[in-house]
Amino acid sequence: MRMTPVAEPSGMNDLPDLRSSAGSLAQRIHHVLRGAILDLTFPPGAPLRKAELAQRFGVSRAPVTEAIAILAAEGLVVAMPQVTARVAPLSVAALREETFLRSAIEGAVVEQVAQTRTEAQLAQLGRNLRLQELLVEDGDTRGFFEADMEFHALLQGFTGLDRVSDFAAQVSLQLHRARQLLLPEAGRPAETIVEHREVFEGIRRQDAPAAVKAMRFHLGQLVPYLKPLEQTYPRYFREG
Amino acid sequence: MDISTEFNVEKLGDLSNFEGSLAARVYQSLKQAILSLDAPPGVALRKPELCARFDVSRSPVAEAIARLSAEGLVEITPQSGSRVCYLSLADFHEAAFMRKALEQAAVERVAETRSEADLGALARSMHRQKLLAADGAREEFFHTDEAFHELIHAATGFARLSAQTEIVGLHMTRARRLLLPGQRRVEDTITEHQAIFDAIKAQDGEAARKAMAVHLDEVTRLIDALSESHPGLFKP
Repeated sequence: MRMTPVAEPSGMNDLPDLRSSAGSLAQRIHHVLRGAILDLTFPPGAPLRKAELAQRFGVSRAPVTEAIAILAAEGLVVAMPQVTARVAPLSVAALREETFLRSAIEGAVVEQVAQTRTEAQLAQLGRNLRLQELLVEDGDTRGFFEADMEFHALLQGFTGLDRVSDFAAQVSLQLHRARQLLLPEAGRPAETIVEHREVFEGIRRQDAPAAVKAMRFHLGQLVPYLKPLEQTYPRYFREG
Repeated sequence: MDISTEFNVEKLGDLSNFEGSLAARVYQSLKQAILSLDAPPGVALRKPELCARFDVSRSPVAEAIARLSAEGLVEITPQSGSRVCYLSLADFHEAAFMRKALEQAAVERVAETRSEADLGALARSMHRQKLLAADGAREEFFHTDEAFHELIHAATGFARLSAQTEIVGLHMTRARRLLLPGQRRVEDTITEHQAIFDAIKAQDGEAARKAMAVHLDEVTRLIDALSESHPGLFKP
């Protein structure tokens, strides 16, 4: 889990170029802004001024408006007529709900994978777990964070359903942002590996209920870490 | 089973039927037409035609189409404009998988946490479904069926669950419209809903999960059968 500067960033200068993504102009602007919101370059509550953004990208206001409308539909931006759009604040209720959604999806993923996994897939998961252990030994927090994400991405990929990982990401957008605020906790990576091992064992034995139970337990472990964030970063959270 | 290849824009719901900004209302009207197959798979969405139909400028129409594209219902190609996505069996299976994941988790939670008021609302819905089935009121039954699922989502206490389930299940909702709503299926649906209700009443989370799986897997089985008897219906 990565440390993020909590100072109010100017943001604009950190935005990647539009050429880095594909699709229509509005789609590319959406993609860039979404990335900036998810990695907290644009923190909760930050204003999104259309004129400023249009100038930064060298485009007219129309595609910027279109991109902001999609972000609003995703719940990442609060947009109202006549008022400057702002990055949506975090809320404890939304984080609780997203934990539920993520657990539902990842539970269904391991349930299926436990029943359909091949030996080659099992070997891939096993290698990923060994990599996780090596990275924890090295104290490589960033590397471990990525290997952790890869573990979940491998499982999603093994379902053979192309968009499950997109869906899983889409229903846990607030959770993704909140995780950026978590500091690396001593001992947590080692616990994470034990939990991943349990999931792996369920899949290895083709015991779907055990794999589901292990995944749910694993995802539930994040909850106690999320709660104190509201006290630590009150201005990022919605009141009430 | 034939789907029209023509899109009569007059079939689009008037903007006064919807709420929100102009773009939000255009979006809802188009989405309703796509999900009901009034705007058939593969048909072109021409912006000038839509502007004229709704009597609005291009920008709310462009915004609405961008949102539909983000949801995977419309594909935008830089050269030839926008078209309604073709039906695909892969899309259907993905949507069915996601919807089942969310609905099973929801019903398990509701079985474990339900209040007497939640149970009362579900019991009333069961009565209503049976009355509509007895009267052969299939269109109203369809809406009451959806309302039954929404009651379960609402009883979880999670504000956005209904909307999320709708979004992930869009391709399932659209394909379901292909199934002729025969009396037999209506009666089976009631039996399946009853099993879900009984498990919630008994506060048995595991039984509720299983009953929900039986119910949703039945839709998948029917769509798979349809795709075999009508191979042209779905894009390979």
